[in-house]
Amino acid sequence: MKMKKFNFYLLGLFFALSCNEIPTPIPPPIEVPEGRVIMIEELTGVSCTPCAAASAILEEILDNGDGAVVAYGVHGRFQSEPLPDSKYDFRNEDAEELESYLVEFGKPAASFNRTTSNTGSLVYGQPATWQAFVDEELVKPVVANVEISSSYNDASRRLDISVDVRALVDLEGTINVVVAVSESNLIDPQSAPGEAIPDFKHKHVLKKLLTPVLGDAIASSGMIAGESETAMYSYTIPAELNGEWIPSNMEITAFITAEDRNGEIQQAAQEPVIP
Amino acid sequence: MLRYIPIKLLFIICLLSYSDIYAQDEKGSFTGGFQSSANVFIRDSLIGAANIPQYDSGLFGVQSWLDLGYNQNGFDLSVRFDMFNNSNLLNPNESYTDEGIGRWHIEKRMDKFSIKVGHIYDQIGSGIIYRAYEERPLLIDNALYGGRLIYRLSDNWEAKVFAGRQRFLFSEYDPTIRGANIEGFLELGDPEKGKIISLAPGFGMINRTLNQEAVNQIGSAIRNYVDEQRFELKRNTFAYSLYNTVTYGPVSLYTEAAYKSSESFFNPFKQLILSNGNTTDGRWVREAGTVFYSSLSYAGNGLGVTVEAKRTENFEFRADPQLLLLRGLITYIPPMNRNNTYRLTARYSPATQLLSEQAYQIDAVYRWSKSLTTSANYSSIESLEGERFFREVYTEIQYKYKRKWQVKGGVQHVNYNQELYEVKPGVPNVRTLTPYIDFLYKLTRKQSLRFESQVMFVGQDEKAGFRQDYGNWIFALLEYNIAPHWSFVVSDMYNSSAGKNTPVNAEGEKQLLHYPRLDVYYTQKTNRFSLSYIKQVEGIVCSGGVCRLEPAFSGFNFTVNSTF
Repeated sequence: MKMKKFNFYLLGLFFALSCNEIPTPIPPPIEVPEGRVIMIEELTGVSCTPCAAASAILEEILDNGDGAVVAYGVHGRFQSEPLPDSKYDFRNEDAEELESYLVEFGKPAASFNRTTSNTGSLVYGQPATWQAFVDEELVKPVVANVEISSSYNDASRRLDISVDVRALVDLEGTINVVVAVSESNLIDPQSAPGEAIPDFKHKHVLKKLLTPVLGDAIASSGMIAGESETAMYSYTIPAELNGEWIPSNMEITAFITAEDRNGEIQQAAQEPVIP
Repeated sequence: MLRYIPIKLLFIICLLSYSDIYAQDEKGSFTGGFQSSANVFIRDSLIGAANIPQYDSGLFGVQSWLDLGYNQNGFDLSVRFDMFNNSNLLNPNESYTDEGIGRWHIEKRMDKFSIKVGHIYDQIGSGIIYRAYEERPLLIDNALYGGRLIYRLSDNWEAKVFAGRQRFLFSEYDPTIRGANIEGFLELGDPEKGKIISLAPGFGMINRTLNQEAVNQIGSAIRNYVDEQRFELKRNTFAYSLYNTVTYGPVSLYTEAAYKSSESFFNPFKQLILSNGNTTDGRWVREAGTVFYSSLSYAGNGLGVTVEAKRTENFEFRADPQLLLLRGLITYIPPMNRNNTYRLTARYSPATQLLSEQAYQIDAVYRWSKSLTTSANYSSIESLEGERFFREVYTEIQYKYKRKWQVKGGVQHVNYNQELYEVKPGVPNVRTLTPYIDFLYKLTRKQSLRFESQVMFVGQDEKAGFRQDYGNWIFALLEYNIAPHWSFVVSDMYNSSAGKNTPVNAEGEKQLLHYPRLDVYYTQKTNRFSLSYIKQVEGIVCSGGVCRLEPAFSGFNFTVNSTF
């Protein structure tokens, strides 16, 4: 009899507890410091079924970021093989190298300013949570300005890029700059649940890294607040082929990393090849 | 901090073992075990064993575990050293290196009480609302890092409470877990008349509290949702389970009903409305979950029958709902299919689905005589909406001729939803028919020879113009045993007819490849060593319905298993 009473009270206590929590409010929109721009490196692939939905989420994040978030899509070797009806093969050596550096067990995944997750990984695999990591990066103070200026010669297809970096606070250790060229509006099949999407609009496809994955050093012994450095790059865009390599669809992305800040990206910028 | 506590624990173990010399009470005992697996990776890009760090540059990988335990006067102390060195076990596509104390515990058993702290493996009922366990081949080790108290209410009743955080590698996830469980045993009826019904009822509950950071992260995601898709955020989730086993003579019935209160989780099948009005697959939802599971078995007169059924809805339950794949699982839902062991009959195994699954399984064994046994198994797994996930028909006949030889054979048919289980888009369900045979012949009292073979016929993928997946397979294995020390195994798996995923050479032609394997095993008392040369096609590796896709492997493997 005592046992029955004990069980009954225990049961009642558990159920009562489960109804007694005040909900946590949905966090309000964050305040982004003026000039802050963060970088998303998306690991994706045309043979990756869930990557179509992830790309939609990424576009939503970019739209909501209103210029404070920039990205490129890394089509490395994993699940990036073209589909039977593909016109294009987005894979390239730079993307493969970058994917090897950022590697994660499966796609889609994304890196946010190359910060390390609590599981020790450089990328986060659940697109539904990406906004949170974007927010965490967006609210950090602006420590440097990165500005891209470029000129494109239509005849030679030569693209000259200048990346100006100006420190707003003292930055210690080596400061590296990474510069990349990507292309958007490439209509080609994308794997998706059920059937592939035949006319998927691929955006920000990484086509070329003009620096190593970890960047070129623009300041080997840090920068003091107010100090500026400039890095120059040139790239000849391959001839247009089958609707690919169209300069008006291409973007230049640049960002800086700080060795003494775990190699994390400190500030980014993105500009179209043809304004 | 975690890495320093076990040093003290080791000291205590040494001290206790030393004091054992002078102890007046029960004599203490040391136990232990060592397991190690080392791989040499040999690149073979044709079978897909390439493009991961091990094949490109790592070349070697090893993972080892050393367990040490000491028992005396109701004390149980245990510590385990884990080492991962360029290991591909955590992530088959990556190298993982770390080492340290992976697990430790101290337990004291008293008359009525049992107290345990450290890393605790446990489960409630069949594990639906809570299971903390270790499965090394999949690197699942989700022990609770905390404390547990067990109180024996009577000879047949026991209650326990526990609290802690779930272990992940050498640290813990932030959310906290606590639980309570009471279970017992009753006998009804008149023992003198032999009509006894026994009951083994139980009730358990689990509470998981998310850390504020995790709640905020989910909140950040749903902040941009349209109003009708937003929901309230709560940190606590409760799960309850009521279960019972009724046994009457040769009949036994286990039933369990589990309920999980509403919680936030990601549902990849729900549509998300984007701010531009478009939709995409997958969004966060807040819903309650249920699981109903029952197993009815009969054993007597040479006949054994088991019928199982299960219904699962929204029972995604993890330490943190943002975790994926095999990480952070609190729930363990029993699988509803046969555990196959032959290479080809085990090739297509279903992973238990946590969001939507209804399944049943019938297994029957009949022993006609001492020599002849037959068995059959049928399992069916569907979504709650009726989409076919998996179906298997398995038959077996076994004949033993004295102690000289025995033969087993049968046929398996499988219908496997590869799109779901292996995330391969647009592919039809793989259909297979696999006859198999297993023949064991005892050459002498100490020597035996075993031969097994399976032939898998795979259905046609009309759209691709090839057979499904890799197409047809032939597998053969010859095993020579010299008891009690040696065992030699040679086998080959041959892709006899090309399928859609059969590798192609540089000219784009399908390559019908052999996947050979050679193994040498040596057993010395409680120590077992093996050296293998392996070429292995990619495939699903499952344990109890928990599965992951393993890439192709090419290279050597050396293992040591030792208990002392």
